[in-house]
Amino acid sequence: MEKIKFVGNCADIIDWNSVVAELMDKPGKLVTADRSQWKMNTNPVYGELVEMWEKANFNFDAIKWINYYPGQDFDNEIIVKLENLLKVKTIKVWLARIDPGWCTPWHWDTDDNEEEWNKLGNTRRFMIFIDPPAVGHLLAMEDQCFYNEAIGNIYEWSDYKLWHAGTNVGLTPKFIMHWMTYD
Amino acid sequence: MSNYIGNCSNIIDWKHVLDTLTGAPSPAYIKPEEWANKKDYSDIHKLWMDADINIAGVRVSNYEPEQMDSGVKPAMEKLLGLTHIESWISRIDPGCMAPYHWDFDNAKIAELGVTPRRVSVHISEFAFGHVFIVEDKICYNYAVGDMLEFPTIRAWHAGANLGLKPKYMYHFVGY
Repeated sequence: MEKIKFVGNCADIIDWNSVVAELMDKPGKLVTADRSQWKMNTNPVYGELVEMWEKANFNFDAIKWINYYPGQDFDNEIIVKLENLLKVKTIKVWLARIDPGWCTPWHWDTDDNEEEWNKLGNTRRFMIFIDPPAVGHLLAMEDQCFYNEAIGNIYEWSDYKLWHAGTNVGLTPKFIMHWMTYD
Repeated sequence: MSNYIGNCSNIIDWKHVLDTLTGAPSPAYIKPEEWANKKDYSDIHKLWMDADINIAGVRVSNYEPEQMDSGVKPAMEKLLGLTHIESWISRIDPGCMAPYHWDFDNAKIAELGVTPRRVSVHISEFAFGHVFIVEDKICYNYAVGDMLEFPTIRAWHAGANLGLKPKYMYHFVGY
């Protein structure tokens, strides 16, 4: 199986421009390199990642992104439409925003509830490009890099633990939807 | 990678070039406030300020030709069939980036009255998170020695290092 597989486009069933426009002024959940905000004690992976970045002398002043969640930041109806489209059930979903000059360092997405996820069934992870192509909006995944993706493009990951990183060397905020599901 | 023009690793040992760089590189973007008052720089500076770019993420440093193995310049001139105007090696460390910009003309170009060409070369081993864009094209997962020609020397481009190892490129402008 390919590591990242294109599965289709959802721009015809969801008006992503409106979704993103509504998020623009919302605070969402800010994530930075501030160690006190990371659950180092309950999940050792966070500590391992931060240690790896420190060892590489990563520029922590460039680490920042914002997560938005359904129900509180955007309409749950979007998720219902996507579940119907791909015939999956949602475990976790968030819209990630990176502003110009910021990044998410090389990492994989860990979660405190991974064991519980695996009991639900066959887990499947997707990402959806939810804003139009813009200069400098980049997502690197393993040996691939996504740039200039059409709005609504959906990709499935072969494993939710794939290594990835994102940055915005452009001039406008960058948004991607990340979606953990099972079927 | 539509601007790909070939690979030069068979004529230049880039690992040796990197291993023998002398002295420290010079930061390419030191005082944002000075940019605001310089011709050309001010346009880019304004663009970045208007976009509220995180300036703390903007860190690139450059090595000049004098800091490199002296064989690089003539080898590139011969390979490309160009006369050297300027060249440099850029270094982007993990977590740093060069946001969307174009590189300012060397004053010599106006004096020469020629249309220069620009070629950029990936000279460090590819590592996850090393990204480079020229206009709407992405360059990722490259081989050492891969060469890209810019459409014009003023082409907009950007680079970033989201990975764990420093990223180096060699840039050559000639006619």
